[in-house]
Amino acid sequence: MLARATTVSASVFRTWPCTLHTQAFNEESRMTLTAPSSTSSAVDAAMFGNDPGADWISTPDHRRIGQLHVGLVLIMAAAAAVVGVVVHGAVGDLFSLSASGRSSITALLSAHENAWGVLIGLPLWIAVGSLVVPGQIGASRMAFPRMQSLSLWGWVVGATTFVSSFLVQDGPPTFLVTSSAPLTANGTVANKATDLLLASLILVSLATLAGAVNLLVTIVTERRAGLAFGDIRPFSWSVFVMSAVLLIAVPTFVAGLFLVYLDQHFGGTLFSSEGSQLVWVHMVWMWGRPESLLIALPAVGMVADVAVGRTGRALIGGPVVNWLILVAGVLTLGIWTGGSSIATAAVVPTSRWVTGVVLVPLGLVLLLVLGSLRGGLKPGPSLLYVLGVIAAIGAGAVVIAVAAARTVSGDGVQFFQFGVTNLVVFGAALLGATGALVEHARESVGSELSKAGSGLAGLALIGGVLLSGVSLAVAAMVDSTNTIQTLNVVAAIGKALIAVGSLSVAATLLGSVVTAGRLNRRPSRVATIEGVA
Amino acid sequence: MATTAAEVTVHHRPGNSAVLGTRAAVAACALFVAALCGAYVAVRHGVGKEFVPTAMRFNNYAAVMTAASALLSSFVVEWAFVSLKVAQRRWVSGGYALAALLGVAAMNLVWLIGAKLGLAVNDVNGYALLVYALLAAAMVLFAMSVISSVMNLIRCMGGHASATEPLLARAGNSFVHLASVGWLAVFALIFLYK
Repeated sequence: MLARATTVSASVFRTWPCTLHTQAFNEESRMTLTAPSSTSSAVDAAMFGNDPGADWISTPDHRRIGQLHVGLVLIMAAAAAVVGVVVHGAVGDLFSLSASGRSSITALLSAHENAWGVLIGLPLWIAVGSLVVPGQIGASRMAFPRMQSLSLWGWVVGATTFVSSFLVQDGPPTFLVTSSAPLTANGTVANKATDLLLASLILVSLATLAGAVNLLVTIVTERRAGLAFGDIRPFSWSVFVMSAVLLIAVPTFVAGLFLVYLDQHFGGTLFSSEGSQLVWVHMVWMWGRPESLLIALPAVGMVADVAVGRTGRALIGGPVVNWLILVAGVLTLGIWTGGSSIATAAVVPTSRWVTGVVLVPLGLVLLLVLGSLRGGLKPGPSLLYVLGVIAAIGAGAVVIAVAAARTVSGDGVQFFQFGVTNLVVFGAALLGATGALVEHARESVGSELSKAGSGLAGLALIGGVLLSGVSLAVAAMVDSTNTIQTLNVVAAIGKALIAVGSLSVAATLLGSVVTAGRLNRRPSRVATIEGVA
Repeated sequence: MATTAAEVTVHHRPGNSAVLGTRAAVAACALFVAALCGAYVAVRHGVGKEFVPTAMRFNNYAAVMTAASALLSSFVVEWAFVSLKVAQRRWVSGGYALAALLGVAAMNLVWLIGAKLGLAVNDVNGYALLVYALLAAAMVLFAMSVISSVMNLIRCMGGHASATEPLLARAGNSFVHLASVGWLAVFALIFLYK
């Protein structure tokens, strides 16, 4: 056999416990890992070259692409959070601002929201997925290495275009994906900013789609022989489900953007006609599409995955966890069955069953995970991120339950939407993605992330997510202007903590990459993770 | 118990990856067209009876000829694929070349339909804009079918598609079938759901 076997400690590489149902996890046991066979090593050498420090721009190595992708998305997350600091800090004085001042703040707020929704949430999962998933399924590469590179650079160009669309001197874009109200009939209104925003959204969407298709195909065709679908670890499984739903959802969004482009250049009347409200809500508006519910799905998979790795036991329910994640993914498509009144469901997801029902399987997974976290827990910073995800989702659920019993109206609706999405969608996703990175850094980067660095970053992120989310949701339920101003200042502090946490994770990742380079540990040359038979 | 090296060797299946990746791309394109069709249905349903402008002149003859060209190209690529499996390279080359020409003809017909519609894009209820969007999507699908047919032709001539390696050719054929089905859906929608 050409394969070259090496052994490493089981504490370094953990396995999905499908194999552990019949076999107790033994921390001292050693498993056999297989480096790429000499045949695939030769292919690797042809593709990657012999220089371990090969250039980062053109590399087809999915781990290197993933490291760069994660780092850049985290920097974008920090930049968006800084904009959030400015916005929420200014909201404290919004009541005394002039009309132009308010307009500037509104434009910044739009940039902040749109960046979180399109540029950061799903691309972060694609980036972390490309780092972690191949290792978890025993693949030494992705199905289409160059396509992953395309996904990264498409995102970079799209993100740059996105930022420039808010900087051009031609006024802000005429539409926003975060606005539930469609464009009004105002003739041909496109400006440079609108064109740039449309181009950036289409680019980022296609880049995300390319990454999702690559992950999907990799999981189907490149997983190691004998690894059944039901035995795939929860994180990889959740990425698989997310990718499959994205394959359905992203083309719809692109079609919606195509219609917006045509409308803005050749008509300006489509979205003011009868029936177009539904088109806008389900094809363009961020919270009327499955992606809005999908962003948090892999975070739940990550929680289950870390629980498995840290306890060394199968979760209570075993394969049921994967089924629940699949059900949640399928249910996200149900948002399309809601009428145009789905706009209210984005504010209080439990107000409509088609959106509220998605929370049921995700909640069950979290309950199964909590039930499984008993005794023999191996400590590590990733557990902090697990607690952060659970706390963010839990706080979101409490806030939604409180809001369901009260009336949220007027400006409060927007505040409430910010708060809930900060907790349940973006907060959970950010914590989940960084948690997955911390948990699997050894395999995907070549060196573990600094425990102190990742721990402090985790604390900052958790604090930031909870502070900003809860304060904004509470601001929606109070009437006092002074209290609203104070709560916005608290939200600004939360955003600052998110910026610090995101940059800290990026810096820790960079440190780990440098360390791995010094030790000449190139992950693509190291063994892939294989299961215990 | 540890696995042995033989048990955990990674199995690369590049052929399967290419086929699955192509089918995923086909699915994405199909959903793009389906989303536009859904938008047409939603707006039509919302507008009510006065949806189609009186100036509308939809060229049924050209649309039917487009459908015939599309279906013929689907038939021809399948014929080429069967020929590939029995190692008849000349038939394969001829089949894919014919399919590419039929795709170009279909594109020409779709362009003709759009040019003769007689609608201003900025009509009141968005009908013209939706129809032009659907025609543009159909045009893109036919362009992709032409590209895939030419790619299959080149693969066949270069020996990358053969009786022993027919999977990539089959994957490429999916784009031709997608264009046919996509056009039939667009035509049926515009013609029947006025």
